[in-house]
Order: sequence, then C-alpha cells, then structure tokens
Amino acid sequence: MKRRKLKNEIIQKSLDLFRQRGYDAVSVQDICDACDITKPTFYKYLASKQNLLSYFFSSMSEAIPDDWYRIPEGTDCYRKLMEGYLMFMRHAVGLGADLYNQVFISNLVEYMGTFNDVRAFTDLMVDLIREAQETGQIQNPSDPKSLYKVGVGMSLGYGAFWCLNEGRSSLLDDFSQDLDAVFMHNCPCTTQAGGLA
Amino acid sequence: MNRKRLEQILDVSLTMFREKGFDDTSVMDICNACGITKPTFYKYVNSKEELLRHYYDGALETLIQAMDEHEPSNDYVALIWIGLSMTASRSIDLGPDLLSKYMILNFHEHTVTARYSAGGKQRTVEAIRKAQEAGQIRNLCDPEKLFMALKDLSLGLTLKWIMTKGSFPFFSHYGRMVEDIILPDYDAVLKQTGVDHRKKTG
Repeated sequence: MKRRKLKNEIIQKSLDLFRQRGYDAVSVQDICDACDITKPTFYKYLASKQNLLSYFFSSMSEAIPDDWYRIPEGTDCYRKLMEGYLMFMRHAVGLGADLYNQVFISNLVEYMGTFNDVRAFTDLMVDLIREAQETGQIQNPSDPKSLYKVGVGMSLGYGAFWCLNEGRSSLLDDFSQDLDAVFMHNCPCTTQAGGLA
Repeated sequence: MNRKRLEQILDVSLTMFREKGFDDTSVMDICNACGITKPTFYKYVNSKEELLRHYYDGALETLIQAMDEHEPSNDYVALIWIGLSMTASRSIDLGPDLLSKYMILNFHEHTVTARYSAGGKQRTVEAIRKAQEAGQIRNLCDPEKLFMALKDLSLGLTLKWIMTKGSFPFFSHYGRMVEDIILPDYDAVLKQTGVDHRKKTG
C-alpha cells in the first residue's frame, strides 16, 4: 500500500515539474529532489524518465470514472459519444503540447501500449453509435464498429497534428466539427435522408 | 552542386538504411558506398536525418500530375483516393523503422509534414466537392471538414501502424475507412464513367 502511494506521488510530482519547466529540462534528480527520495529509490519504482510518460495515459484509461458507464434514460447519445472521444482529447490538452509530444516520441521509440483500446469503453461507444444511427441523430449508416475506429484514428491524428503544430490549432473544436461531418450529424444530406437507408 | 550526385546519395543511403537499419548506417558508410568524401556529403545534406526529408522531394508535383492525368475520367472517387493515398504510400514504402525515425524527427522539430501542403489539399477538397455534386459519394457534409478528417485519420493510422511495427495492411484498412466515411455510390460511378470499382476490389 505504501509502495503504491510513493509511486503515485512520483508520477504526480514529475507531471507537475514537466508542465512547469518542459519535459527536456527536468532531470531524474529534479524529480527525486521534489519527492525527497534518492535516485536508487526512484529506479526501484520506475525504469526511466521516459517510462513515466506511459503512466499519464494508462492511468487515463483506467481512470474513466465508473459513472461514465451509466447511461440514464433520455441521454443524448451523440453528445455522450462525442464526450467519450473528447475525454481523451482533453487529457492531451491537459498534458500540454510539449508533454503530449513526448508521449508520441516515446511510443514511436518503443510502443508502450498507450493507444490501445479499453474494452468496456469500446463496447459502450459502439452501442452509442448504433443508437445514434437508429434514432437518426447521425446519418452515416456504416458499421458502428468501423465508425468507432475511425473516431479513434482521428483522435490520434488530430492530437499528433496538434503537437506537430506546437499546440497552435484549436484541437477540440476542429476535432468535434470534423467528426460531425464524418458521422453526418447535422449534415445537409438530412434533407434527403430517405435515399440513404 | 549537381542534382545527379544528390540523387545518388539519396538512393544509396535509402538502400543502406533498409538493409542495415538507420542507426547502424553511418555517414562514413554512405560516403564509402558512394565513393565520395565527408565534406562532399555535407555539401549536399546537413545530416543523416535530413536524408529522410529529401525522400519526399517532388511528392507534391507527382501528386498534382497524377490528379491532372486522372481528372478527365470524371471518376471522382478514384481522384479522392489518389489525393489521399499518394503521399502516404511514400511513407508506408519506407517501412515502420525508417518511418518511425522520420516521424520522431518531425515531432522533435515540430515540422508539419508535406501531407498538409496547400496544393494537394485544394485539389482533393475540389474532388470531394465534385463527387458530391455528381452523386458519386453520399456524404454531403462540408468537403473541407471531410478532407481534414480523412487526412488526420491517415496520420493517426500511420502512427498506429508504426507503433505496432506494421502489424496490419495499412492501405486496405485505410481504404475501408475512407469508404465508410465518404460512402461512395459505385453504381453511379459505373454509370457515369464506365469504371467498375467493385470488380477491382472483389
């Protein structure tokens, strides 16, 4: 129990430091000083500075709040679906372009599984797409599973583009508007939706 | 400076990167294989990494030319596909290892890759609009938004492809997703152009 607590503290402190000073400017020694531990202690818990990055995202998929999976009667499916994607995008924005950039680099050097699917999340999102199709909120009739993957691929791509662009583009707005177009939500085709089925 | 020499350096280095890997190929190795000295090498390229950028030289011109040649067929679905896939195919051709080096370079230096070049974008957006007007695709949402979605999806999928060491066939996955997004009406394409897309894929 105590071990786990210390590890979490190291992760949290390093995240704060990375945000304040930028990833490259923070050394393992800096992190140790901030946590009041020695380097050997740091390396007992974490393989490297780079290794820390994997926690910011794996903790994210584990940290989808339980009540997110509860869908009360009358929920707006499409909005919920969009929220699902935006949850990950907001996490990226929260890390900041510099740190998210490092997440990409680390995963390119060696894939840490950061962008793997979380099963329960995927299942719910696919259900939401199916329901949004059935209720006519979206007009794109393609296979819900495939559409879900399109959204995931897009969120990865928009995040990457945002980093390459040094955080200059408006990530969340661009993503959600373009996803509207893909799913055909509020699309001009609605007027002739009869021909689509 | 002569163009031929640069091309030789590019060809030789790319072959060596593929055979021995990027990290295990030194500038000296490349020089030896080309029969040139290091100072000559650096007259043409600033670094080993920069060689990867040169690999994309002429990509836009090739793309525009291919689209020009294809335009008269009025097969806008094929035209969209050319616009989306041609530069990506240069990337995929590099293979996961080399492409990974190239992308890391881009992330380090914050260079937005050639894939977003204005010329290619404009032509592809136009192709989407024409496909909509001709009834060749059924997604009638804003062509510009669709283009950005399709392009960023390609970037996202490319990254996943690199990270999983090329674990899936990129173009068949991407191609299916593009279809799921733009919703081609292949009957309409066949009627208008005589091109049967189903025969090709089936």
